[in-house]
Amino acid sequence: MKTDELITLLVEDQTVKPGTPRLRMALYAALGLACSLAIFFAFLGIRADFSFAITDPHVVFKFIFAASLFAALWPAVLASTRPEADVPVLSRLILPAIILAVGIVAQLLTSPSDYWLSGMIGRYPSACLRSIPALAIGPLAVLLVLIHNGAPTRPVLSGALAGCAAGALSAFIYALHCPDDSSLFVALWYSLAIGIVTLLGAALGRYALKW
Amino acid sequence: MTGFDHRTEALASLLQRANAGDAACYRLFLEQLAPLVRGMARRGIGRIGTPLADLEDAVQETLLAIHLKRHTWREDQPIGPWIGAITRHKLIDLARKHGRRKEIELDETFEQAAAEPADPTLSDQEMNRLLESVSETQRLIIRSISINGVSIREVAAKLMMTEGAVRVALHRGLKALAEAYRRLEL
Repeated sequence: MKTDELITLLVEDQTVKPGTPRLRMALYAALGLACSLAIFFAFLGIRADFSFAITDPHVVFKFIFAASLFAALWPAVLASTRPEADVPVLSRLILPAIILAVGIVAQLLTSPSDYWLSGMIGRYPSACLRSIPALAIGPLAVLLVLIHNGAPTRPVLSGALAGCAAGALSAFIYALHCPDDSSLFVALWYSLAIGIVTLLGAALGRYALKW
Repeated sequence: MTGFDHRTEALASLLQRANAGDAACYRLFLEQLAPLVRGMARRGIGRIGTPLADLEDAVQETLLAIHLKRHTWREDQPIGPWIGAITRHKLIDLARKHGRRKEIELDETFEQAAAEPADPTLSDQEMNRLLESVSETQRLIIRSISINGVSIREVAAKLMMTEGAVRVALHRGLKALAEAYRRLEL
């Protein structure tokens, strides 16, 4: 096939718009979130003492940390859909890292040192490690579709970003259930759980984000 | 540099009008784009050490990729880096196919590319081979339009399909071609 002939083909193909329509993308997003919420309400549920617990700054901290991580990564996720865009990852992580550090220091200052270790290990670390990745599956799939729909030129990095953002979102949801309130618990197990989803995203991205 | 700026500005305005539905502008865009992509690809191929014989195939794959990803160009962004990034992405793919596993540095930019006409002695048969992997209807539509220059309306009449169905089949066929190239082992 001559290049001129290919050009004729491409000109004829203009009527079908490339990429996923916005409406269908919104539907995927709704499905991904519904998937997380279904798992959440089927296996976890909102903690019984939620209305009381939410007055505790340590509980509020969990939500602030997760939300700040997601909000920080979202622009980078969008940037990685464009082939020429710089994807600023490290600079984006500064704010959530500061928030986490403030949470850790506040916890150390407000609780006696005898409780530091027990607070960090918590009561349900393995539930945290299982639940956050499980809740992240739907959102991760949606983010990978969103990025694949664009033109990512760094598939591993973009996949890791999608994983980290999905992990942050599911950490927010898991915090509605999580009975471990020490910020040291969040610093250790939430980070580890989000890290697992990040690695999963990177591994999937390597294969799924090619074009 | 003004000559180069002028060149990318012209491409940007053509693609903008093409995105608004002007097919003649889209043809002009692709016709002006092809020699520049070829120029950039030739320099890139020289740098990554892949055979020059792959040049025209690489140009076609890049044009196909730009076509299928044209919605990722934002009209408020310069078009040169966008075209350059896609071309680089395809050249690095090509280098990997030739077993260059290490990280490849390709600092050619689209703005530096010199326009280069097609070299008739170089093979441009990869697309034809890849056509074997798409469905029969898609292949028939692609061949009729590209090689025989038949219009979509005529293809639709001949295949007793609606024009809409032909357009969808053409689009899917092009996506399948891009996918087949990506999976191709050289």
